[in-house]
Amino acid sequence: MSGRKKTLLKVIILGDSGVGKTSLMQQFVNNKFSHQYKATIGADFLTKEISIDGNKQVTLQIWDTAGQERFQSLGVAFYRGADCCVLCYDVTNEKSLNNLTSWKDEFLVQSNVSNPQDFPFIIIGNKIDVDEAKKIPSLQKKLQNITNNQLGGLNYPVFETSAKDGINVEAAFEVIAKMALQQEELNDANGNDVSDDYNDAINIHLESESSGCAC
Amino acid sequence: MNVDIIEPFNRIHFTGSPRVSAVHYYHNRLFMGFNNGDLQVYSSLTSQSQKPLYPAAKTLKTLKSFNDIKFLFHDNSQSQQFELDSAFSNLSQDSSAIDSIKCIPISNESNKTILVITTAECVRAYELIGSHINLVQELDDTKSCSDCLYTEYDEHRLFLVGTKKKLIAFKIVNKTRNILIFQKVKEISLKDRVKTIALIPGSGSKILLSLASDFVIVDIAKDFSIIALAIDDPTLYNFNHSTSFSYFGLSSSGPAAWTIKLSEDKLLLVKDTQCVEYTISSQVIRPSAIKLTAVPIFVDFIEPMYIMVVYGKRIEIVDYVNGDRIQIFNHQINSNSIYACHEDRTIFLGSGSDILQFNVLEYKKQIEQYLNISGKGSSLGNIKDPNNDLRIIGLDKAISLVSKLDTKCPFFYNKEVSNEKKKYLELRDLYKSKAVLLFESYSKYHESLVDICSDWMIAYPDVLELFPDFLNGDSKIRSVLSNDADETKSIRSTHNVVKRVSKEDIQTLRFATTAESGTENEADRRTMSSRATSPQKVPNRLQGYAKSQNMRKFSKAVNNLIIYLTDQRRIHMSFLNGDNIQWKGIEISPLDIYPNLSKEDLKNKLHQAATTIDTSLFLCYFHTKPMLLGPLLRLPNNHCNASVVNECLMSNIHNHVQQRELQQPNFIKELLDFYFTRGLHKDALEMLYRLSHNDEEEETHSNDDDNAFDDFLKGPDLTIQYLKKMTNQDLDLVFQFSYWVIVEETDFHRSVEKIRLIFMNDSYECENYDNFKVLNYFTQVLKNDAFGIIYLEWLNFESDLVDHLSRKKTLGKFHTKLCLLYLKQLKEVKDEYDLDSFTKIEYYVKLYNFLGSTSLYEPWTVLKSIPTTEDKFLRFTIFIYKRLGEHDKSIDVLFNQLNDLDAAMQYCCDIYQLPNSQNIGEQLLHKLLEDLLMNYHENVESIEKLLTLQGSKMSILRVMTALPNSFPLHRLEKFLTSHMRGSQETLHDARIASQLYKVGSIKLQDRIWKIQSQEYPIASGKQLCTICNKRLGYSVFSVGKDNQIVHYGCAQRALKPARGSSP
Repeated sequence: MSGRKKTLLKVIILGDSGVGKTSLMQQFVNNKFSHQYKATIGADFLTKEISIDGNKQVTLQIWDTAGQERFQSLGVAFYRGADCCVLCYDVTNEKSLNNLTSWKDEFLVQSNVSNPQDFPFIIIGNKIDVDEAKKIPSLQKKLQNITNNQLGGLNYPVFETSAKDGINVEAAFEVIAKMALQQEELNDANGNDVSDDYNDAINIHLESESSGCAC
Repeated sequence: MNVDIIEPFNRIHFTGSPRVSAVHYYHNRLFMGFNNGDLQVYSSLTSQSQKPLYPAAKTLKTLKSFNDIKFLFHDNSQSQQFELDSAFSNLSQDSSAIDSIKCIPISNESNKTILVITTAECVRAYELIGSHINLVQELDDTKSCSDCLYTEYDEHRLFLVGTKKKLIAFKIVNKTRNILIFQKVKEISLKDRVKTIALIPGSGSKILLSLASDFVIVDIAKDFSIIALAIDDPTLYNFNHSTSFSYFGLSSSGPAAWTIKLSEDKLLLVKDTQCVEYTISSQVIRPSAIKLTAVPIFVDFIEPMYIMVVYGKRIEIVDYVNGDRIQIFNHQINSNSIYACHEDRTIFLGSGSDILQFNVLEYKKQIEQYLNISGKGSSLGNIKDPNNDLRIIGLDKAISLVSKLDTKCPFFYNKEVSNEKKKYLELRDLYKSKAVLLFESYSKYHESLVDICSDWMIAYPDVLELFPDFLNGDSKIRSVLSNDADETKSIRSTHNVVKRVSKEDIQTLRFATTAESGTENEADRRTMSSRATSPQKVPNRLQGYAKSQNMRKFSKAVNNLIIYLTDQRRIHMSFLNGDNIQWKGIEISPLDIYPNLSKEDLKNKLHQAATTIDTSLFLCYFHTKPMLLGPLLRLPNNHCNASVVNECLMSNIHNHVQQRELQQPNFIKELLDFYFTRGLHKDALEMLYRLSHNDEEEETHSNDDDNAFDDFLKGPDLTIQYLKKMTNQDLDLVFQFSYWVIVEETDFHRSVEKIRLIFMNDSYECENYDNFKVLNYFTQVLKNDAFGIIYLEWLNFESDLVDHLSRKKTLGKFHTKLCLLYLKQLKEVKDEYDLDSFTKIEYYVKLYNFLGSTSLYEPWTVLKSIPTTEDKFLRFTIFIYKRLGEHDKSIDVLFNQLNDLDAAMQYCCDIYQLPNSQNIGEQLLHKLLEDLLMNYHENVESIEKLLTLQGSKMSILRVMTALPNSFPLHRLEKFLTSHMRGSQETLHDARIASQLYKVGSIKLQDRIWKIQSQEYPIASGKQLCTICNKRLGYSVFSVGKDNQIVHYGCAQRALKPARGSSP
């Protein structure tokens, strides 16, 4: 059973401040929810081991980030090696929905991924437990506008969740894990490693072309 | 490597037979002990103004004897660096040699020094006052002393002496103010001979004793308890065990041992030729990188990273971190009787009748030497290994030196920034040199750009300098602004293969990669094969191979540059937000990275820096990773230069062949996204206008798809897409640039389609437009009321804005405007139609229905616009009069002016059926009757019709009164019959109601009787209570369960147990 090795998948959660990124992570990993809002400083991560399709064990390393502007000082190293990116918005906050594109673009630039067009993203609309009256008017239409925009659009799976009541959280993370695993396998196949300074062992003698023998 | 860390400086030569046997330097005074027991004290000049005579290091190899070496030093007899203060003879009292001299720092007086002088027989303490010396005390049992140590612990002054297998502790106390006494407080027996005594830094009370066979820690605080220092590492087995010679007693003096403090947490333990490092905090001992070739004579530490090892013929300066020999100085004394001391920056070697003084070079000079060395580190090893390059090794040494220097070191003193910051900035400069070297000479791009440049925040101009100009944002901006098309300036000859890459090389490589994918045709293949057989075959292939290698390197370098630039843009964003950033524990401001910037112009320069960085990143993406252009250009905080972006992205806009061959997509949408994100709407729209109206580049493609795409580019679709995203703030621009889109469209329906796309979509932006301005644009600028009508119809009936407008109370205004526009349109065409067909035209029907369905318009405004003299428009007035409550006028218009009795009757009927308007309706019907009666004879039939159809709503009495007597009765038949029937029905209904009331009355009476029958009669006060069987009397009564009258109290008591038992 050589395929039984454990895989570590790096998942990054992005989104505006207060949309519930930390709560989603806490609900998924620890089945806990706190009503108290506490801003995340920098970044923090939790891990959870899950099984995909009943036979593949993976460890999700979920990175929660600070949505607040003043904490956005994470360097490129933080984003490096990400296998999936979760874009979060709050179903009661229209601005957080409109900012999803910026979060996606920011991620792509910072992470410098090799396949920006196919990189797995997932959208999560959190806080669906709130009153209907408080939700963004014509949410579906606006969401569709954002996701269907041809260029810079977010044509990705969308989940509506409630970290408070634990609605749809497991399902969303299951899809995240599957997408991340695919990306990880793709990365493994391409063997892309930005730090391969030392793979130049061959052909070094061809460098000195000016003095090279022309016979 | 031979870098000078110490340099020869001065030499003192003695005449006569005594030989030097001990040297000690303390507070600018040199103490010398001689083998006949004499002591001489020299004082040095405070300013060492003399420069060293030291020649270049390379020539030292030729100096093979001590006589040659002597000339490297100043002769003290001439230089007078030291002058004899005082000389004391035979301090050992038996003319035996002085073995060691130490000073104890306990005297408060400047002219008094406490000296401890060791001889073979004992240890003696002296006080040196001026030119006099007094014996303080001869310490008991101190024969064969190997080492001694002064320390202070818990306000006690202790002097520890190691003699043979004993450690003796003396407490130094003041007998009087001037007289000291050494009181023996402890004598500890040890299992082996004591070699050295050293204080463990940081502990205060712990002493490390080096014994002949092992090491022990003595804790003064715990009554001199002894703990053996465990050395677990099997490779260090010999270090901790006595050699076989000592075991058999063949070696009486060995082994030689030193305990040297490297830092506050680290000691170097030397035993003969073996060295180990002892980490105090973790109590870990591990082998040191230092390898000694022979048993040294003297070993000591030179700040910040060197170990000085003195041998019989030479001095070696070794880097303690990796054991590299930094300097070898052949002093050629050629003796094992060398006595050395080292304090601060001065080293003395004494042997025979000479004392040699060396000075440690300033750090600055050391670094300069490190940076100036070059060549190969060793003849062996790979030419491409940077660890074999002396430039890299020198840089690493300089970095290591600066890293280890304490921030309090004068080397970092400066006026501008803190010492800590200065240290990091110095290190940054060194790392920059290393990064450039690694990049240019060794193609270590990740190490250079990410590990060093990014981590050490090397300024971007230095990094971009390593790359070709077409990736350098700054150069590109300058070339675009100066319209300098030829960017390929002569590239200076450089080892840097990345710098030599040109744009053409990238395209060629892309083309080759694409061709490799199997798209080349047969002809190409044939050409290739013919080329392959040519005599140039081998060099060509080699060149091509080398080029592809270079391109591989280029692509790797650019990938790492992208990582560097991404990090730089994050840092510059913080700077632009007015924040400093935390870097390696210190706060870095923009001025630290760009020291040449002035504070006044900082913001502006930072913007320029951000522009260069973002533009460079853009260029990297453009040439190597075009799929990331979109994400970068859409970022709201990107500072890419608009001209460069435009030039690059528009460069191949019509060249579809190139796009296919080089796998470059068309970037027009990315370009528009960029303009939009940056708010450069006017530029974007002007560019689209030019694209659409510039006929010069007109060329047809053989491919239909290409032509279709060009048509798309030249068409208005892109402009419409762009305009759709613009907000109310830019409404003027929307008007300005939608003009050509609408006006140039000749087909009305297609124009409307475009107008709908721009002004009548359900986007958030569109819904926020100033609707009055938009309407005004259609009617006043485009002068097309039809567009205005379409817009108002959308606004009033289709859009989601109705609620919003009605809340703002502006909906009525738009309703009015729509009415007026309809009327205007109708007035324009009124003469083209007769009355009948006029009422069938679209706008008539729309206005008629609109007036009938809405009541929000302003009636007087609309009424004023209706030409009441024209029958074609008169019907519209009915709706106005109806809203104004002037129904008589409506009847007038309908009956008298339009002669439409049916409409008049329907109008009356409508009013009659309105809530609370029955009377008005009735009055209107009677008015209509009166109007009919005016021309009674002609209107008999109409009157009959009125009475037949609407008579039931009229008062029969008034009708009969109004009708003239001559009115034919038979024409009233239907009217009267229906009235009669109506009256009878009313009567019938009244009778039924009467009967029903009677039934109800009886039912109610029955109920009253039933209630009355439920009474509880009491015959008299003598009636008995059924519970207590007592007379009821006049107390309060209640009704019991069996409907009997009982006392209230009894009833309550009867209830209680029942309540108590209830579950």
